[in-house]
Amino acid sequence: MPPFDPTRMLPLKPAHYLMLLVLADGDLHGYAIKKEIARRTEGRTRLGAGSLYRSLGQLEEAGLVAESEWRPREVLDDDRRRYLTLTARGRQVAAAETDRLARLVADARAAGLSS
Amino acid sequence: MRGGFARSVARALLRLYSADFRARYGAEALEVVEGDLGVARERAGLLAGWRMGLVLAAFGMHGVLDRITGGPSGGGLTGWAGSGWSHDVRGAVRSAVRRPAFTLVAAASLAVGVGASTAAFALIDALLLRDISGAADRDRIVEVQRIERGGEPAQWTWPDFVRLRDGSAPLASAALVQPGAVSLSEGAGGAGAGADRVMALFVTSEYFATLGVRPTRGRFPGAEADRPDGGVREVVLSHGSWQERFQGDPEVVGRVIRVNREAYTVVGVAPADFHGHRFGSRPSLYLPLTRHPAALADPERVFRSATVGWGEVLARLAEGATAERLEGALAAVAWEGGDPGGATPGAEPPPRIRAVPARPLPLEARAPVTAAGTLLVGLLLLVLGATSANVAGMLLARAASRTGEMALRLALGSGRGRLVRHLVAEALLIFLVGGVAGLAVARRLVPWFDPGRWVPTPFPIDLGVEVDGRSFAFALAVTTLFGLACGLLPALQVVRGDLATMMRRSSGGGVRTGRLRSAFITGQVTVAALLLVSAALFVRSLHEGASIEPGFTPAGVHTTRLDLALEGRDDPDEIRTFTTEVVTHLRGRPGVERVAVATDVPLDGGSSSAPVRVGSAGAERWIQSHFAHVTDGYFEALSIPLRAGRTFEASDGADAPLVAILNETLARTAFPDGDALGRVVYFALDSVGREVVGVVGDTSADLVTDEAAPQIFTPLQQDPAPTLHVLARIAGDEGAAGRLLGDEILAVDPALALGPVRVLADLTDLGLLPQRIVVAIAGALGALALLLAALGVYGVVSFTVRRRTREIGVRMALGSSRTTVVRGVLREGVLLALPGLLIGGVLALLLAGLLRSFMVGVGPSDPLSWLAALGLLLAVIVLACVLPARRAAGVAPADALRVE
Repeated sequence: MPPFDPTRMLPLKPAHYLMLLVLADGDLHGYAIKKEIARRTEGRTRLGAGSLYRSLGQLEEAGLVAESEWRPREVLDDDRRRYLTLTARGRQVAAAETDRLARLVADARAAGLSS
Repeated sequence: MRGGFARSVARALLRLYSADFRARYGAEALEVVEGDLGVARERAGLLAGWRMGLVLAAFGMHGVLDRITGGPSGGGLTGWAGSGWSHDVRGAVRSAVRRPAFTLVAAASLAVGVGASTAAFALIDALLLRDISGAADRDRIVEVQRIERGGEPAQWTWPDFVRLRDGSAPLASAALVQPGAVSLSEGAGGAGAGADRVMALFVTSEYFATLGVRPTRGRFPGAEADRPDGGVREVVLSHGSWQERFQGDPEVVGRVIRVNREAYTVVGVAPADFHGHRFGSRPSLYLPLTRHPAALADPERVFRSATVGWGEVLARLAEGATAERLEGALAAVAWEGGDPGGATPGAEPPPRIRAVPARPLPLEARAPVTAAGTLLVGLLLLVLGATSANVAGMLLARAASRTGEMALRLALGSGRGRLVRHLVAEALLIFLVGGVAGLAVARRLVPWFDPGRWVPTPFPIDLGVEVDGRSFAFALAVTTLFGLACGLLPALQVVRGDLATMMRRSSGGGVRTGRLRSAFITGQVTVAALLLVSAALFVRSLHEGASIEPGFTPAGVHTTRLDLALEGRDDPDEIRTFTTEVVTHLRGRPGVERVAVATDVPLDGGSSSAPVRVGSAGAERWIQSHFAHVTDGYFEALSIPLRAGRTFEASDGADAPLVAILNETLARTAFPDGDALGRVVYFALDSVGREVVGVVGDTSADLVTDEAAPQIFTPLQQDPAPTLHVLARIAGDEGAAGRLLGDEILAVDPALALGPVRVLADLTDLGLLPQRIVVAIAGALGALALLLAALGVYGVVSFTVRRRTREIGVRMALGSSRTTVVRGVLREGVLLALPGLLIGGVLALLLAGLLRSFMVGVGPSDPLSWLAALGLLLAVIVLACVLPARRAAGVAPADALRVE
């Protein structure tokens, strides 16, 4: 099996990237991911249930996120909720995407496209 | 939509997802959908239903997508992998291509249905469902309304706004806003040519911060712009005017432009996606509120007064605050003003303060717009339903004729589910082709929502209706849903039962498919009857409306509007001089028959009213009347008939005794004894009476359908006002006459910002605009539904005729005449359509009841409309049966017996 090349998965869809970004701070369940994304984008990105969980499913399938072992304290826990964690692969892909975007932003700055 | 119902729909929609998805995320996803539904339900009234519908539609759509891509395990990040579906899709494409005529007709009729409903959805979306474009963190933006005695939101006074802004309420910022027209010329020089009237927003400095808008260039005015001395002459350009007027000049910040003839410095440009906080009129400029013409003219009145209402208030809630907390904090404030213009401010009850989420459409307008929009989309979905039923009918006929083939496939080992999927894929393909074409149709329809296409508007109004991702999602959801239904119904009919029955059915019978087809026909005829009866009622009502006499002769009269307040010429003497100049100048021009200047023309939709007082002290009465200040020649220019006395003359000047002319209704109301001439009336706040010198005929004030209302006229020289219409009866070609009027007024003052020149007859038509729109919509939909019903009936009847060829042949061989055969076929068609006619007729009665406000002079049960519409429908249905009937009658018995 050839070594894993994260750049082969680029570019990421914005929703996927946001999800990886949010999970980089800690394990969360789907609804919390949705809320955190809405907060970080000042309410501009609001995911519906369908797109949220389909995207998470795709990330899980691609091995970028996985079900987490971690659970919050029992009283808060609702056993229906699956907590997701960023896998090592997911971290690599998110980092590669960040580098790609950073290069784009640098190009844009150089072209005078910033205020 | 009820909460429990929505939840069960969500649960049903979850079944659309793959089993894999459901096992992993099903419960959680339902929880999130319920959360979203809860948020949607907090919206007011019908809007809640819309929002909830959108949430559910999106959830369902993703279910379909999940299935198509074969669930999470099917695709990974790039999606779409080869599953059984790709095989079905290929099969569907093959069979669609094999019958191009069928595919084209079906897809084209669907395109019309999908296109019309998507365009309507885009309109509703723009009107109701969108947030303020370009604003950030919108949850915290509220409209702070003060509700006074009347229950309607009143305008804020400046002192109370300051109290709100500087008080201890949990606000991050607040802004007072007042829209207004201004004249704009780019040149820094003096009275340069080429001034335009444009729409501006006069705002206090925190306006942009409140909406969370940041400049794309430069900056926004600071707090010093709110000082009542109006010393800050800074202007912010909208992105649109920066691009169009200044060609996107990168050096625009710092340029000096002239607004209302005064120099202003451009300090910033608003972002491209920001068009003000209100829907429709997109401001070209943002100016400090302290630079409003009224504020400059009389600062004392505006900035100190406890009664002068002065704009609406937008506010941004402090971090963590809620609208309720804000309302609570504001309830405790001692507000000053009362009802603007009320007699004694102190006696007013304190206003109630309400904080509502700020939306592009004002709260008061939302309920009627939502109701009308829901009705429109509902009707269009009905038409789409009828179209789908037609396509489903065709598919059913094809499927029925393929029962034998299906039975064979089953016998050869195909799964039943597999066959259903194959048939559904075929239907879906046709629907999706129709849906994509429908989007193109919608794009063509959307420009018709521009009000400027229908009526001359003083400013361009951009409703921002566009076929975007959301409309696309709507179209996709609608086509998928209808497509699934239309594919599944016939498919399940065909593969039902065991192999033996299927084989038997394939060679005759088909009773149940027949029943399903008649159900489709009933549906189509119902929709057609419903729409045709409504259309007939509206056409009748438009006819009645058009025959109403407006009380004046609009033909040949051209008019244009100008505002001397914007030109800095609103001093009473200036207005007098200017008016005299314009009238004298125009009178001498060739072709100009009559000229007048007036503050109001009939039927332009903006008439103002004020009380007229009659009777001696102690026994006085107040009569609310429309009013207009007019020059001599006004009644002659409009051919308003003089009933008694005289019209105004040039001698009714500023120094002459005050005079007035009443219309017949006011004369009759004010002086029931019958003689108004020579009597005295007091207009508005007059302390000196005016002598009635004439009585003229009634004219319609705003809409021709309005009842005659009291109206008073006074000489413009005695009551100079800055907002004027110049009107002239000009002989000859319309375009040339219009140009003449514009040019000659500009000859008096080249720097005037003149409104467009309009023909008064167009304005008269404007008076019936609501009726015209309803007739256009109902008529178009009615015609479409009629065509569909005819096609449907034709399809079914010709199908049965073909089936019964043998039977008909036998009958004819046994001596049946051609007439009997034809009559039999016609009877079958009519019986097929009858239930639909009856149901549709009854539903139309209900619909017309809802739309009563659009009808003039006819009631919802007008018998003529009913007979005409249902008669037409029946005639078309009979016509649709004639072709198959003739074919049946032409059957030669010998050939018929040889069939099969």
